[in-house]
Amino acid sequence: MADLGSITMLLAIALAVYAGIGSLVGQWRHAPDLLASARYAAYLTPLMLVTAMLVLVAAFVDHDFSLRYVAGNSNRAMDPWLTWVAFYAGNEGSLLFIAAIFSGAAALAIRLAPDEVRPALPFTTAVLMGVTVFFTGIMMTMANPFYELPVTPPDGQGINPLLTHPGMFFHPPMLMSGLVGVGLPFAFAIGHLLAGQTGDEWVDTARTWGLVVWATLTVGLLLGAWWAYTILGWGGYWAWDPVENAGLLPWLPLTAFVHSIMVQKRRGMFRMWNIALIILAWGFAMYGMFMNRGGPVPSVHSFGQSTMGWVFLIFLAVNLIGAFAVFFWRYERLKSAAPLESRLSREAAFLLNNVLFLMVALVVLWGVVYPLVTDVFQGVIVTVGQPYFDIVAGPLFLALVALMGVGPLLPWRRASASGTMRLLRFPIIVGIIVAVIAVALGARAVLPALAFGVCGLAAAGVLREWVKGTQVRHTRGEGWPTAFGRLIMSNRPRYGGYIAHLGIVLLAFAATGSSFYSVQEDFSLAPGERAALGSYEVEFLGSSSTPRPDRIERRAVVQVYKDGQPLEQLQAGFAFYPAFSMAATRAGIRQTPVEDLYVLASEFTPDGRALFRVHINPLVVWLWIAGPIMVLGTVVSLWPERQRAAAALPAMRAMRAVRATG
Amino acid sequence: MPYDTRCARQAPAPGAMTHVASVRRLAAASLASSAAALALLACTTAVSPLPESEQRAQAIDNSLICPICPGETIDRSQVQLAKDMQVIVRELIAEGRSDEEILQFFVDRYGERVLAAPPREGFHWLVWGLPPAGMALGLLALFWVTQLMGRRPTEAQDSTLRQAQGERGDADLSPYLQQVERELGDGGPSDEWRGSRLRGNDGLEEDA
Repeated sequence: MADLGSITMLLAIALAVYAGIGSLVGQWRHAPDLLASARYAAYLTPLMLVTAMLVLVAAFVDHDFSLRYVAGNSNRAMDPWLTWVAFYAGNEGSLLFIAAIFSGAAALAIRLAPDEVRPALPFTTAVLMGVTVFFTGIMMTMANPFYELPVTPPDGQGINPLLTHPGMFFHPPMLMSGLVGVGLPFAFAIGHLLAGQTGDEWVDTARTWGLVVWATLTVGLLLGAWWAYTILGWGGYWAWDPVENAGLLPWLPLTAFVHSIMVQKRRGMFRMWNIALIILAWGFAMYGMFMNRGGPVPSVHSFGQSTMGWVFLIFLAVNLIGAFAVFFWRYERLKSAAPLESRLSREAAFLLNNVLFLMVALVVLWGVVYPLVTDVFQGVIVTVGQPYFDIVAGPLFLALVALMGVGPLLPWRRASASGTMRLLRFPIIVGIIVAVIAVALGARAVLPALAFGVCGLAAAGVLREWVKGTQVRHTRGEGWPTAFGRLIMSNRPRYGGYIAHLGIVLLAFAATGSSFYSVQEDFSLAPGERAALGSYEVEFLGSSSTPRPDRIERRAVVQVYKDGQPLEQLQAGFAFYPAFSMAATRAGIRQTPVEDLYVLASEFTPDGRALFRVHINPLVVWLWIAGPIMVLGTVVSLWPERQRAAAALPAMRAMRAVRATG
Repeated sequence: MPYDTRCARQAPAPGAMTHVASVRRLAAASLASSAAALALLACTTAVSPLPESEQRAQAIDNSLICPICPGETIDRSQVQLAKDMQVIVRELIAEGRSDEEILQFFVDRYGERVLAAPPREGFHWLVWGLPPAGMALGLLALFWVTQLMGRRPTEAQDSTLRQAQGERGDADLSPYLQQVERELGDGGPSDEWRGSRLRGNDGLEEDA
């Protein structure tokens, strides 16, 4: 079986190299046959890599410890369900997953490429294949998952305890796909630059892939937050940890990109800027993968420590230098098709959005690299943690949410000052009212009141557009629901975007509530004792200790009371893994729309007492609700428009006919 | 004038009435939703806060990094050293020391890296100062770039502009569009409605 894995990996890299070189040579020699065969090689590459991946999964499920990687990341004692996903617990399997998912997406992107990107497709294919070759090559030379041990050990070493969570099924694949996926819009951008197609041909395709990747990365990050919340056991979901930052960094320019690409789509502007943005996003995405795969900064998330980091850094440098070299080579041709008519226009709002997103990315990056700066200049590695990021990035995020309420209301090209005031009057009034109510309800500090007000402003901006648009349709004789549905469908990129914006408002709302109003307290309780926090009481009923093959599960059962009324029982505890001398926490969480009661049991003393930490975390559930809303918004945004599909159909048929005869 | 008849056909006759009604309904909807959102908050802010000394202690716990488990604050860390440090923090608060003194107490023993973020002094102004400076520069750059982008296009670019607009199908509409925008700029009782109408279905920008 391992041989099958090695062979398919070899075939995959050979096919990808052939597809990349073949498409360049085919383009150079004007050889349509060679181009077609290169394309088919690109379609076959993911088949090979997926086969290799399945072989690896089978090896994990079968406990084939003759493979070094399987022996190092699993054992017989682990839960059977976990063996299905344990293959991306370390570097080798993660790289295989990344290579397989990227080559699959690349094949799909090549197959689905619409007519307007076909002239540049050979170059795009070459870039896509270059990335595939890199990941497959680094895996084969430095982290081969199919390396066979000379002697098969009787049992493996087991999986990192922190990975033993149902989130393992979703978070790593989503995050890895989201990070490497940035390579798709990047490849279209660079491919078109190389081909000299410096107009707007690449825009629709890059926007589509950009949004798909954006949604994937967003969900990946949220799942990571959810995972941290339920298993890392410190009561929070985001700690500005170096690896979390590495996931956030590409998200920022990517978000800027999916916004500013709309300006190019609609108005033919920002051509240079969009290319620069996607190059930056790809640079950060590679940095993110580098940090996840054995980065130099200590973190709770960096599971695969290795020397591979250097190879990643070199690849990152080559990509950035190469991409910007091509960019400056084509610089002269990348002029906007239209001037910016006014600073009070939607184009200008998009520019401000981009500047703010880049600023967040830069201040986060600065916080990440600053310890290296002090190391060099002062000989001491300082910590740059949550206080820094909260203070410098918080206001920028707040400004972005405010802009989200204002920008979409502005018309394209230019707006008059008086018209703008009329447009913005309503959201601003709502924002002020919300802030005042927040203060009246006991928001003691300026910042949370301001943040809630800004959330109100942004939500009101979106609602205003929906209500107005629906009303106009209603006055033309459509029923309210029909009017609303048709409004959304009339301009999907726009109204899908609004849905995603509402998701962001929810995120901001939840983040404000939980970061300013969380309460926590530690208690040491004997069985039968009660402790009170706020309007809650928890009663320690008793604890249990269950030995499992690979771990000991300690569990405390607590009865929750609110205002003296008994509610449900929660289980809180941890699983201790002797092989790793590590514990994985399992928090007991009672989730309501208002707040979470979050109970941790961190220690059990011999006299039967248990050490509890109880949190009340307001509004956290809205974080998890925001995710599906943003995905819905992306889907609406990308839903194909009928006219365009109808127009594309004859063209596609013609293409097929040409291909069949030629 | 074609655009005029178009608008007249779609506009309801008593524009002002609709405007007032729509604003009312809109206000009601938004206030209802924001009230609902804030009602959530109301339930939770009712939680009685901890004693002030404990709040201070927790804030300090979150500003100190556990010296032997990189990246984790002593609030989060499970190791004994972190728990001992938490006890010391509370003892120092009980002694009446200020937050700065307590942080300095730990810096003296473990060095600067025990702080969760560098202090705002000396060399470390670099880490705190650069973000606001960068923001200021970014806004300046934005101002400058918008100035550059706002220049009248050259002859060659003008033709690409026309071409680009032609691709978007509004070349023949552009004089009317400009007129609409001019009149919108002057302001009238129902121009807000008209503005949102024009952008609402985006017909002028969308039709490819």
